[in-house]
Amino acid sequence: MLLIPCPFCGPRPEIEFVYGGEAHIARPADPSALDDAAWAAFLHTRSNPRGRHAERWRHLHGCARFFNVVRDTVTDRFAEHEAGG
Amino acid sequence: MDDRVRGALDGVAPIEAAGVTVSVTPRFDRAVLRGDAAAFGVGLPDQVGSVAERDAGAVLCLGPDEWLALAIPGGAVLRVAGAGAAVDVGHRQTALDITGRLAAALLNAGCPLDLHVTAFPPGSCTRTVCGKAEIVLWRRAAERFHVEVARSYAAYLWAFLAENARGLR
Ligand SMILES: [Zn+2]
Repeated sequence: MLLIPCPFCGPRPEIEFVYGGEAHIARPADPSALDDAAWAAFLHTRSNPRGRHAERWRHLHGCARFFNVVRDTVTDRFAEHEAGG
Repeated sequence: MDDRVRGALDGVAPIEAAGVTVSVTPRFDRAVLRGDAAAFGVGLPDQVGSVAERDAGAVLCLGPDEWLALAIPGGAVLRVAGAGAAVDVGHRQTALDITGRLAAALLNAGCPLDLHVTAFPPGSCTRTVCGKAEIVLWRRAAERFHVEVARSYAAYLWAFLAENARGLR
């Protein structure tokens, strides 16, 4: 089981968390102005890097807060926390 | 809290096993407090995971702006002045008292936290899981835990603990 570092609770077992996907994906301000391809890109296209990945987690069965953190997708090691967003 | 509402585990006899006893606590008031600590009339602990005990009750800090008040008579804790919300959840949860030398071992049958007394010392609290149920765990003493569970999960958690208590050595 992964130990995931919660900024409020410290390292905690993975089973207490839900994954929130890639961080920093901003919803377009005016969705109706986008064509289908641009909307599909917002919904589905992610960077999927090999290595450092900024992502969101929610410590659902703990403090229940969302937070952003960088995880290496090769080693599963967690690096620094980031500001939310 | 309305005393006419039936509890989820009313009348259930304690689980007595080698090194551990699990019993249902008497009823008490509960409230969830959300927001700015300064908005509430009672002093609140500010560290996530810490507990402030007062008289027979306690306030558990579960998140950076979330507290669970236990057994503090409703009037005081439900008064809010400012950016906060207090909600009476007296009937939402059932509480268990788990005591004995193997209390932590029993919880670890379904709880993934390190419950060694140095890792989770007396006065610690947190929301976590036990088996398939979400619980709030408060360590009152080295060999005594207070467990809050949603009333709809209470029968499941009780059966889970009874089953695992049989296997303790
Ligand atoms: Zn947390």
